[in-house]
Amino acid sequence: MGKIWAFLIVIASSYALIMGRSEQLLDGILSIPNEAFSFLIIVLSSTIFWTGFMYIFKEVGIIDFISLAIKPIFKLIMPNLKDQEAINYLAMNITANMFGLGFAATPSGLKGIKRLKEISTMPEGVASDEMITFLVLNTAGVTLLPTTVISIRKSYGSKTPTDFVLYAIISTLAACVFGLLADKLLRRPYREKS
Amino acid sequence: MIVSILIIPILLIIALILAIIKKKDAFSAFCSGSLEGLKLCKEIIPSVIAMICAVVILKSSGLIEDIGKVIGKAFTNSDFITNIVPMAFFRPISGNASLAILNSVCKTGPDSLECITASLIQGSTDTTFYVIALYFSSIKITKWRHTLKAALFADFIGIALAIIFALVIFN
Repeated sequence: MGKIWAFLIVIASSYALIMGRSEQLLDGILSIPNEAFSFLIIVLSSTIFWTGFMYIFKEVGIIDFISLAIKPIFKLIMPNLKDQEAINYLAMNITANMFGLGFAATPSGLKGIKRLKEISTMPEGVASDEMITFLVLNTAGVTLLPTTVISIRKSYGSKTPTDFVLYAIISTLAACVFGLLADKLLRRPYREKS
Repeated sequence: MIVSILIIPILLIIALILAIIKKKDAFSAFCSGSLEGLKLCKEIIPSVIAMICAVVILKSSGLIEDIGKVIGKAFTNSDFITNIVPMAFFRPISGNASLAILNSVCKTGPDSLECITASLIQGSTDTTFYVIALYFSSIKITKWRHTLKAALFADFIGIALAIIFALVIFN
């Protein structure tokens, strides 16, 4: 990411200078703190508010309940995974992500994948089938409520800031299903290249 | 439409009723959650500002606009292309970058087709490269096999569906 970032800025700035847009460029650069400030106000207050909101769900046990409910799904998509400890961590991770609790999701996800490594039959440094399936599921990012996006739209005066939510959920579920299908289709027994 | 209006209040009511029944302190749960959110913010602020920096420079250089104009010659709705192509490109690479783009798209019209499309793209998938790198590096996995292909295919489906929904339902 660091390289892309630097590359983008160099390309864009040089392009602006070559095209004789130096004034607009300077104007843009000087406006960054202002832009950052107004943007951060929205992102910060929405993150703080929504994690508080979602924490109530955690406290009353809704997240544990859903994570229990999605365990059978893990049996379906990872039939070879019998390890209960790993399944617990993975289910917790996916559920916390669904509620936008990324900070609560990452530790259980890291523990989960560590457990997958312990029970992996692959050679050192090679991803096992379960690890891949889990990461595809995780990066497809099933989120029930894209709270930051809602807050951004609301702050700019949207009349219907949540109108896209239902379709976003359908898209993310479809991404999930197709990702898992791709995982199944691309899967080949791993052979060490000599 | 009704679902999208009711979803947040209903979630809140369910959570609070459960809290009352189970005699849990919802107020202090909210506060400790907020505190976690605040800690999270501390970690993401620097990279968010860095991303805003890149997006603002990219915008003021006129580069994206010019590329959009070139592509736009092939399509009719060039405004849409100019705003959505960077969004779709950055979504799997950096969540903060795509959020910064979403911000600049929605600023001028929070109910415009462009903003709705960007919102759908943001909600349709997660930051693929970052997540995979984080998890695999934590357990020293160097051979990813087909992880990236499958995950990027999922992103592609999510983003494509997001754009289709936007054009069919919100246009």
